[in-house]
Amino acid sequence: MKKIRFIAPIVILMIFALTAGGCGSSGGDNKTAEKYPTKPINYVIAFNAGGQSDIEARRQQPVLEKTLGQPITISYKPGGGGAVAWAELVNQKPDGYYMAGFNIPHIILQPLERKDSGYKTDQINPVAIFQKTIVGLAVPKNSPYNTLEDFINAAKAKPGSITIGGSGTNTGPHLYTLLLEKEAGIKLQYVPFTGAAPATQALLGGHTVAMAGNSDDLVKYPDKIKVLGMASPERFKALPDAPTMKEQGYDIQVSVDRGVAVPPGTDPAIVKQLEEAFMKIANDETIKAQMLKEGFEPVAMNAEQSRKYIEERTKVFTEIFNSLGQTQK
Amino acid sequence: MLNSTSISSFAFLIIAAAAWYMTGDLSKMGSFFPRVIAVMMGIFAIIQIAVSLLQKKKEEPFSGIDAKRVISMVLGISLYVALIMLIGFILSGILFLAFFFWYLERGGDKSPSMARSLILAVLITGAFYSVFHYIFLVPLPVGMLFGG
Amino acid sequence: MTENMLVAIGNVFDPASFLLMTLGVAGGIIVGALPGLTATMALALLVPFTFSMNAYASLMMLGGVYVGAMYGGCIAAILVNTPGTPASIATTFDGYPLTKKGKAEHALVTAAFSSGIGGVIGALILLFLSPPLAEAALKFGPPEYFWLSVFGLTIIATLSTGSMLKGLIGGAFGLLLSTVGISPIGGDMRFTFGFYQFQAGLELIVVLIGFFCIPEVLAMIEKKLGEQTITSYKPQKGVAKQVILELIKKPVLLIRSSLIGAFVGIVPGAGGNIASLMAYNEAVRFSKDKSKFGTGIIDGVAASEASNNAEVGGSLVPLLTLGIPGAAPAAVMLGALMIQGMRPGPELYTTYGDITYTFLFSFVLANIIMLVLGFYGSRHVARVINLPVSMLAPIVVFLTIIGSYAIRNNMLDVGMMVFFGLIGYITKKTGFTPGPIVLGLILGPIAENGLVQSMLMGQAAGSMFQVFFTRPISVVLIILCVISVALPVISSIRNRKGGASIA
Repeated sequence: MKKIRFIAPIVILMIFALTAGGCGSSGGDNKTAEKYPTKPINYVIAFNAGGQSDIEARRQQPVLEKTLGQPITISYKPGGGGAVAWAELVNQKPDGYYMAGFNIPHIILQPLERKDSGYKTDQINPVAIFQKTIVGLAVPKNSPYNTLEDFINAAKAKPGSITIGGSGTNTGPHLYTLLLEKEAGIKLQYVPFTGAAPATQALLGGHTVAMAGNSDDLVKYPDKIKVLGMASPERFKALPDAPTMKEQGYDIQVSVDRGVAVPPGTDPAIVKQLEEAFMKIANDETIKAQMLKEGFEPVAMNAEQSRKYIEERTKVFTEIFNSLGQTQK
Repeated sequence: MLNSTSISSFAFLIIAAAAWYMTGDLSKMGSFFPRVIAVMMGIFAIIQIAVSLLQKKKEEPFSGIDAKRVISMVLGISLYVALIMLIGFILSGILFLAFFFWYLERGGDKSPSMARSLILAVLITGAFYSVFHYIFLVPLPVGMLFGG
Repeated sequence: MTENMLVAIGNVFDPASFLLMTLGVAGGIIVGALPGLTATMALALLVPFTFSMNAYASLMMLGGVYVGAMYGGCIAAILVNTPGTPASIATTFDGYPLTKKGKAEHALVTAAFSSGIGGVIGALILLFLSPPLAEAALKFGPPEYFWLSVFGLTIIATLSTGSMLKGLIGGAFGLLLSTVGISPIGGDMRFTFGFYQFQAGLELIVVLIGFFCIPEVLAMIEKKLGEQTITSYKPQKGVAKQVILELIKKPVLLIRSSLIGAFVGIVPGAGGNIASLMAYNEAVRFSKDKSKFGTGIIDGVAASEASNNAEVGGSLVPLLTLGIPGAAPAAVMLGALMIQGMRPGPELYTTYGDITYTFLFSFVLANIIMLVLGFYGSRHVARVINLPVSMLAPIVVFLTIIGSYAIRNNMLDVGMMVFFGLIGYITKKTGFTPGPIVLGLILGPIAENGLVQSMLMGQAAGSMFQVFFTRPISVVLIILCVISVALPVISSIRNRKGGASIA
C-alpha cells in the first residue's frame, strides 16, 4: 500500500497533464491568424508510408518546421487511391492545423467516376502545387519498336493485341493510354497494375509490351527501357533524349501534379502563411535540383494559380471522360 | 440435424448470395472475381448444410462458459470504441481499463480495490499514449466533445 | 569487389554505426511487438534522420530496424495470439499453444534462434545470388501470380483443423472480404455500403487482430475466476540451451523454411505473411507426426520464424538489382537509397560497392544482434503472461484498439476490428477457424490481380489457354497445386487400405 500512496500524486498529475494536453491541442477555435500556428500542424499523406508523396513530405518537413516555427506531424491515411484521405480532409475543421497532400488527376477523376468518393473536386482547397511527373510511353530495351511510329503502326496492324501496362484504373497512365488510342486511332489492351513497381516489373519481365509510366519511374531504368514519347509540351529535363508526343504529331499532355490542400473555408490569411512556406521550398535551388534528378519537374504554383489550374484541368478531364464514354458507376 | 454448423453455414450461404446480388451492376472486370468466389462459397456452404443435416451430431458450442463475463466484455469493448469517438483516447482508455481490472477481479479471494485499478489504468494509458503520440507520432483521437 | 568488401567489413564494425544498428534492431523489435506499428511505418519515421547521416550509418540503422521488426512480430504472436505483424500469423499456430502450456520461453527462444538462422541465410542469398535471382523474379507475370496464389490456397488443407469443408468456406469468405473496396481493374466500388472509408478496402492487420486476438481475449475470461486455461510461466534454467540443441538437430526444417522464405521474398508483392504460412505448411507436409502441429511444438514456430526473417533478405534482392521493392518496407528502403543519391541497379555493386556491401554485411550482423537480444530478452518477456487474466485481458483489448487505429488513423478500422473479433469468436466456436479466412484475405488481391490481368493478356494474345497454361513457371506451379491437393487424398486412401482410420 505504501507504494500506491507514493504513486497516487504522480498519477493525478498525469491525468491533469494528459487531459489538459488533450484539450489544449484541440480547443483552439478559430483564433486570429496572427498567432497562427500555435501548435503542431498535421500533414496527412493520402498514400502509404515510403511512397513518393511521403518522401516528398519528408523532404519538406524540416523546412516547413523552420519557417512556421511549429512541428509538422506527418501521418498516413492510405486507401481508395487517396480518396479516403481527401474525403476526411474536406470534413476537417478549417483551422489551418490539418493539411493533406493531393494529386491531380486523382482528385478530379475520382469524383467523376465514383458516386461515393466522399468529396468533390471543388472542396479541395489548394495551398500550393510543387511538383509534377510527366507520363511517358516506355518499351523494354530489346523491344522491336524504336519509335512511337513503329509502335503505332504495330498497333494498327493488329488492333487490341498490344498490351500496355500502367498503374491503376482512371489514373494518369490510364488517361494517357485512352488519349493515345483516340489521337492515333488505334486500339490497345490496357492492363492496370496495383502500382508503378508491379507495372515496371511486368514490362521488364516481358509480360506487357509497353508501359505508360510516370517520369520518376522512367528515369530509374535508363539501361533497361526506351522512352518513346513524353506527354509534355517540351522535352523533359531529366530525359533529354526522349522525344515529346507533340514533336511526333500527337497533342497529348498528361502529368500527375502534387500539391497540398487545406479544408474548405480556411481563413485566407492562414492559407497565405502556409502558401509562403511551401513556395519557399518550391523555389529552393537545391531541392529543385534534387527533384529533377529523381525524375520530377519542380513547379511553384501558389494558391490562386493552383486553384485556376485545377479548374482548368477539371474542364479538360471532364470533357475527355465524357467523350470516352466513361460514366459514373 | 439443425445444429450450429448448419446454421452458420446457412449464414455463409446468405453472404454468398448477397455478394452475388451486390456485384450485379459492376463492370465485367470488377465483378468477375468476387462472383466466382461467391459461387464457390455458396456451393461449399450448401454441401456443408447437407452434410450436417444428415449427420446427427449434437453441438453445444457455448457450453461451459460464463456468459455474464463474456457479454459484459463484448459490451464493454463496444462502449469503449464509442467512447473514444466521444471523449477521446485517453479518458475512454482509463475508464475501460479501470472498470475491467476491477470487474474481472470480482469473485476472487480478495475483494478488488477500485483505487488500485484506477491507478494502473492511468499509468498504462499514459505510458502507451506517450509512446504512440510522442515517439511514433500517431495522432490519437481526442474525441468530439473536445473538438476532435 | 574484394576491395569493396574489405572496406565494408571495416565500416560494419565502426563503433558509432554499430551502436546505431544495435539501437535500430532493438527499436525494431519493440515496433514489431506492438500490433499496429509496422516495419514500414518505423522505417518511414527514420528516413528524415538519414538525410543528415552518412550513407553507411543510415542504411545500417534502417537495416537493423527492418530485421528487428520482423522478429518482434513473434512476441505478441506467441504471448497473446496477436500477430504483431502479418508475417507472424503462422507463429501463432504453435507459439500460442506453447504459451498456454507454460512454455512461452521455449517458443520465444525458438523464434529468436530460427529468425537468426533464417535472417542470415536470407542475407547470404542477398549477398551472393542477387543478380540471377532478380532475373528469375522478373519471370513472374500475372499468370504466375495467379497460380502462386492458388498454390497458396492449398494451405487451407493444413489450416482447417477438423473439417476441410469449413476450411474451404472460410477461405472463400476471406477471399470475398479481400474484394471490399475499389476493384483493382475497372475501378468499381465493391461492398462499400455507402461508406467512403470502405474505398480503402479492409486492412489486413485490422482483420488479423480482430480474428486472432479478440476471440482469445474472450476465451481468457469466459471461464469463471480460478479455472484459467493458461499455465503460468516459471523461469527454468537451461531452457535456451535445451531448445537450441533440439533445433540444431533439425537443420532440414530450418534450411527449408529459410529457402521458402527467401524465395517468396524475391517474388515482388508476396511478403512475409505468405512466406511464413507456406513454410509452416511444408513443415507439416514433411513431418512424420502431422497431428502434433497446432498443439504447441517448437517445429511450427521455427518454420514460421525462419522463413519470415529469410524473406527480408529476399525482398531486397529485386530492390537492389532492379529497383523493384519486394515488400512494403523494402519500398521505404528504396526511398532512403535514392536520398543518398544511389540508384538501384548494377552500379550499386560497382560505383557504390562500398556502401552496398557495408549494408549487406551489416544485414548479417543485424541478424546476429537480434539473436542475442532475443535470447536474453525471452526470459523477461515471457513473464508478461503471468499477469492475472483480470489485467491481461483488458490490456490486450486496449492494445488491439490502439493498434488497429494507428495502422491507418481510421476509426472505422477500430470498429471493423471489433466486428470481426466478434464474428471470429462465434465462428471459432462453430468450427470455422480464423486461419483459412485470413489466408483468403491475404491471397485474395494477388489472386484477383493475377487472374484479371491474365485475362486481359489473354484477350490481347487471342488465347486464354496460352496465357494460363503454357508458360513454364505457371506449369510448374500448376503441378505443385495438383500434387499438394492429391497427396493427402492418396495417403488417406493408402491409410484406409492399411486399416488405419482417416483423420
